[in-house]
Amino acid sequence: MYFSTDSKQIPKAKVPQGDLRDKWSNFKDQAKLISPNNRNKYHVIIVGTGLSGASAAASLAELGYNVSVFCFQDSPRRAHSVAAQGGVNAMKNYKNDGDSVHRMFYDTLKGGDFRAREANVYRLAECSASLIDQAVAQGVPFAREYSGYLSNRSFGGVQVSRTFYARGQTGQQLLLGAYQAMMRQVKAKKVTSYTRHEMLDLVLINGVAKGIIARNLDTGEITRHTANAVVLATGGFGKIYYLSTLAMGCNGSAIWRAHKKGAWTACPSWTQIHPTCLPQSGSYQSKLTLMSESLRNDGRIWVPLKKNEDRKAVDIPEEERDYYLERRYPSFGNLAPRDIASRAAKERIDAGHGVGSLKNAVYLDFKDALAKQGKAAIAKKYGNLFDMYEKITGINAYKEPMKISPAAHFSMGGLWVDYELSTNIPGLFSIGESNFSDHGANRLGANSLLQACVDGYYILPQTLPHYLAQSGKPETINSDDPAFLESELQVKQQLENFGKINGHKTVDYFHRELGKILYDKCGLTRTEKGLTLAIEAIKNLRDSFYKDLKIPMKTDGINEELEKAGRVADYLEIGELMCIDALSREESCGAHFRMEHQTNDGEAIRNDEEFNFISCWQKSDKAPVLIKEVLNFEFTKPTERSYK
Amino acid sequence: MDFKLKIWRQEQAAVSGKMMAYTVKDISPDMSFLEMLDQLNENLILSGQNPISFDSDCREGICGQCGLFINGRAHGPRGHTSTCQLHMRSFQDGETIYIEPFRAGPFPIKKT
Ligand SMILES: Cc1cc2nc3c(=O)[nH]c(=O)nc-3n(C[C@H](O)[C@H](O)[C@H](O)COP(=O)(O)OP(=O)(O)OC[C@H]3O[C@@H](n4cnc5c(N)ncnc54)[C@H](O)[C@@H]3O)c2cc1C
Ligand code: FES
Repeated sequence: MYFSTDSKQIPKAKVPQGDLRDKWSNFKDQAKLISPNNRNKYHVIIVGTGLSGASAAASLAELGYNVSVFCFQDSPRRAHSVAAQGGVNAMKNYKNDGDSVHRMFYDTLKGGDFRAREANVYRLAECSASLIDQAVAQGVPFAREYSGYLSNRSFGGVQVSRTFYARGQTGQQLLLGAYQAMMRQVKAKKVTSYTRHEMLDLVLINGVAKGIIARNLDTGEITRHTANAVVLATGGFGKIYYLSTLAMGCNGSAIWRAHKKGAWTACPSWTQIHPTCLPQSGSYQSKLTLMSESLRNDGRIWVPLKKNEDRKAVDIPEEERDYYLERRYPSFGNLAPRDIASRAAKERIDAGHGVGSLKNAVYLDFKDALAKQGKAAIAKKYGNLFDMYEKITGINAYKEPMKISPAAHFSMGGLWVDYELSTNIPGLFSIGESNFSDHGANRLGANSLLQACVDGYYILPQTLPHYLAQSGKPETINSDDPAFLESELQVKQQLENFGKINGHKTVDYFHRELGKILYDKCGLTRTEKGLTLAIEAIKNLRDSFYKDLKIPMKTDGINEELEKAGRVADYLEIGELMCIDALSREESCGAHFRMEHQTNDGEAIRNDEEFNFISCWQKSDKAPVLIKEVLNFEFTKPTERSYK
Repeated sequence: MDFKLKIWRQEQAAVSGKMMAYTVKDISPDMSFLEMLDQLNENLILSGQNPISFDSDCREGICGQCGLFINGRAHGPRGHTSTCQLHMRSFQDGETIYIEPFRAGPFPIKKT
């Protein structure tokens, strides 16, 4: 067996009593507080300065706590939240189109295929409205109507318009707001910012999180940092697939090292693979760029009917084109949800109908829209995207169809957290994309900027003090404690060992190979056989990593290869757990599609009888241990997700 | 495509640097400028040499982490294009490309 199950351990979700609508208020009513003159005695470490980390740091410092923040970039404002394009959801009902907190809650829960905790999802919707006011007060320039009111768009999977946006740069603008709020506290000396620092270990004293070990990426110095609580806000780990929409430095190391210290990882295999990205064009490629999903409003997706077609797109007559989304999903057509659109593309590509030099893409064609609406109208809507497409591919999409392809994009899985955003390790919290919380098995577009902000601005500033207040008098932690010394030693040894291997292959080689295995066997579709093969393949790859890796030796000073080696070493372990997670879940739900569990016409079959739980994985010396948090649907009834 | 590269190498801020010559071969015009350097680095590492250090993160032109001085111009020949968004099709096959760090206070040289 690849894993064992422990049915005796029952995760404590700590959901407050009361009606769904009252739970968050009930929590706040009863939460323990720390008086303003005592807050100064506590120190909190936040790893990550994206929307979740920066908003949490600004809010906790404003309350009076001392905060240290860490990021690996040279400035906190380069965190990958900066790259989010489309928008952020919030329940304001500005459009008067029937939106409500309950509707937003239900859309999110259903979008996640009923694999998330009701109370958490409700709170996300409940807190969403305040975010817009807060961001506007910070100066975030959301798009406005001519009248001056904030404008809204509609995003996939919902029937109302609740997406606020700032051109195609919503993440960047929100992040600048959070960053400035945080930098104000840096100036006020309430926040200390450690840039170009990478967290390499979590330190526990008597089972409680008390600090971290970090490496200064410029000098190579390894440093110990103590705190009364540690917050991981380290973002998603979709870069494990090598090719993804994430940034080069995005990693799973912080959460994985916490996992190795006992924190549970929940549903790590649930990854959103986005349908409209630029395809890989060669083996050298390092990144797949996201093209906004909005293109699917006017573009028609097709592949040639003939396998291994070698004619150019424009030379293929209409009757030899297969508009497969329109064929399979007549009512949603080209606007089918992300997981479904991506899976359908993979199915055609695997069947030999892929296009482009690597036969790994499908066409997104504006021919009909151009004929009907004219070039000017299309340019007005999508001009910047057509320009971006041309900049990257050199192709003019007004003249020939775009080529697009699915790419790894968002990690629904992450560290397990309870209602208070605490992991199962006391004193260790996880916020933003790094945790598993509100999105279940599939995230709705524009909900994750929201989650990152709500976690950092509104939830953590209530729940973390509640923890501190319960944990007694503020203690001073000694960074010479044996736990810190031991952790530091281990980190140093690992770094030195990478250099000593002195084999024949670069870190990127191993990362690319791992990515190929995961895309193929633990990506859009999964099978028992494939996953079993993948687990073995990853084990072999890991063995060869420790025998054949080659990086420059030195551990002091800048050494990017050394940084990457640490991340890839962790990916080689996370990848295996992802496959085990996918193997253990014998159903199809959201982004997790097991080929054995589908209807005759290829739709997902969810199994609520047996799999109505969140999979929490515990590290063990032997096989990983599965602990189940059973989901109670008190206020809703899980239904089937259909888009036919 | 093949290119001759003249790259400014400097081990640390405190030591002096110099221009060094490299060649890269079989470069696809669809490669980004940084991917071309990735390929050069791959060869340098495997032959036991010190790879070239350069910054990048998002590689989609939004984070502002990348930046090279290419042929005497910040971010190279195209306007409104960050280094990570520059592709090799913007250069001539066989061309010599000069690559240097920014020389600006806010972007101090740490290592190249
Ligand atoms: C291209 C793209 C477009 C997107 N568009 C949208 C959208 O339109 N709407 C939407 O809602 N969502 C969107 N998302 C998702 C959303 O942007 C992210 O989920 C969200 O921004 C994550 O925020 P975060 O604070 O959790 O993490 P991030 O912003 O990723 O920040 C992570 C931080 O952790 C730090 N860090 C990581 N590891 C370490 C370590 N080991 N040591 C020290 N520091 C570390 C990093 O330096 C960084 O500061 C998009 C995502 C991508 C990739
Ligand atoms: S790497 Fe982010 S802008 Fe170039």
